Amino acid sequence: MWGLIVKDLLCLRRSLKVYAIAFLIYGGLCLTGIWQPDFLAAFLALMVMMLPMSIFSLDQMSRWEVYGLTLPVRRGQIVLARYVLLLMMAALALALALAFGVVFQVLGKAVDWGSYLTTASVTMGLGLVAMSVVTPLMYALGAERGRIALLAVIGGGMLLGWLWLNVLGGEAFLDRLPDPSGALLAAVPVLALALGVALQAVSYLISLAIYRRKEI
Amino acid sequence: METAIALKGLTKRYPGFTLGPLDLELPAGAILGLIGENGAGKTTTIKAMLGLTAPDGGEVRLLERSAQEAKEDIGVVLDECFFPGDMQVKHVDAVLRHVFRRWDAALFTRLLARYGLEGEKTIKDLSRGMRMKLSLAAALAHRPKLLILDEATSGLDPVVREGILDDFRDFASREDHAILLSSHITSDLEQVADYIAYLHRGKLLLFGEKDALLESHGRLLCRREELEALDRGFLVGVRRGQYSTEALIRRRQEFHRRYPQLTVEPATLEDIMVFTEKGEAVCGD
Repeated sequence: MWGLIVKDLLCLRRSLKVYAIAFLIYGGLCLTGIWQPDFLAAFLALMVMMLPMSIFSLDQMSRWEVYGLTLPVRRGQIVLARYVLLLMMAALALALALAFGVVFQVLGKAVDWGSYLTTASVTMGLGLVAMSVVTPLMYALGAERGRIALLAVIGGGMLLGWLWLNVLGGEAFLDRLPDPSGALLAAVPVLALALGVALQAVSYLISLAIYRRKEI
Repeated sequence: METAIALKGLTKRYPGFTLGPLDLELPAGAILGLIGENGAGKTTTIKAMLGLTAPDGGEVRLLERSAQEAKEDIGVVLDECFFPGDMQVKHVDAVLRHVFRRWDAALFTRLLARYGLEGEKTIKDLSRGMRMKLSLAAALAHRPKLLILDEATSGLDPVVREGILDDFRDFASREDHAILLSSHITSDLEQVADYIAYLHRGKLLLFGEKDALLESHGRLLCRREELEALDRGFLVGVRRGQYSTEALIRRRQEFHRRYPQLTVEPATLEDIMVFTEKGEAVCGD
């Protein structure tokens, strides 16, 4: 399975360089005060979502899927490698966000760590939730239609949220809720990430079921 | 290990096309040439053998094991190079050393040098011939016992092809090695194959030792009235021209004894394919 992850990382070299440059530019914008550091955390989550989709596209272009199945790896390992890579990327992005916060503070800038970490973990958690829907769609529909599916998932999620808040009385429901305790608020970053990771596990099982039946 | 490939009743159904049931057995130490027209089912056979597509029936045994169990000992070259174009040649080593337990990086490097491939080259910048050589180097560097090659020599110039065919002969000369070589280039198969399997519209029309197959078939050039006088049981296919008639005949020795006045040339694999596909069908035995 490690060979498959190495292959994906090698394929992503160019994309990773582009994202690294963008990270440095956005980091500079944050340091000059033009952007809030929270934007950078959100950017990293977006990056994590884009990379696996790039791999699906590259695999489809080169028809790697066909060759991959001639290798001594099982379909389960092929699917698992993709999920492990995603979680590795998510962990790396969070570590980068954390490191950037530290740099920000060392350079004498004020960092609201509560807000910053919550933004980083919640956006990453939401990114993982979105990918847990999109990855099985990629396996079922292919890369191009999978991209459209990602837009549909994000757009559909936003539309449903808006409908719930503004049409279905969600806002009034939220107003009636007691103010969350400090402990609950403190747990939000962990809960968001835990939800994202847990849904990745469910998503893996769905992708595996799709891929096992897939005719290559 | 005595049997390299054993297919028993292998069947795959698609809407409008059914492959099989295929039954064939290739002993170790031999090269099997798989021939057939476009759409005959050659690639489907290979995909079903390797588990890329689930067969609807039958059994596949490779190196006397299931295909999945045998994959560590199988090298595969498909009709294209499927390594992502952004990878460099040397990256194939970085990936496959983690995939195959017996990956031999030194052998891979030697094969690259032999095929004139530079490690720093990006795969998308390689010509088709170079990409096929890279695929072949990747297929050989884990020291497989069975090579499965789907149109691996197509698109290569004759000199390179000749060199690669020599490699195939060397590989199959070991008694526990074998090759399945699917190709449209029947002249290549005539050079290297020990056995021939001829697929036609999903069915295995002919399977046997190449020499016996070519020995038993012949190409007859005669006049129309001579053809009409022949025993139809000898005829596989007929092509009628304005001035002459050609026919592919079976049981050449017996035909020669019965019709010594007629000249029959040795048939080629191409003759067998062309007469079967394009020739006028003949009701024989």
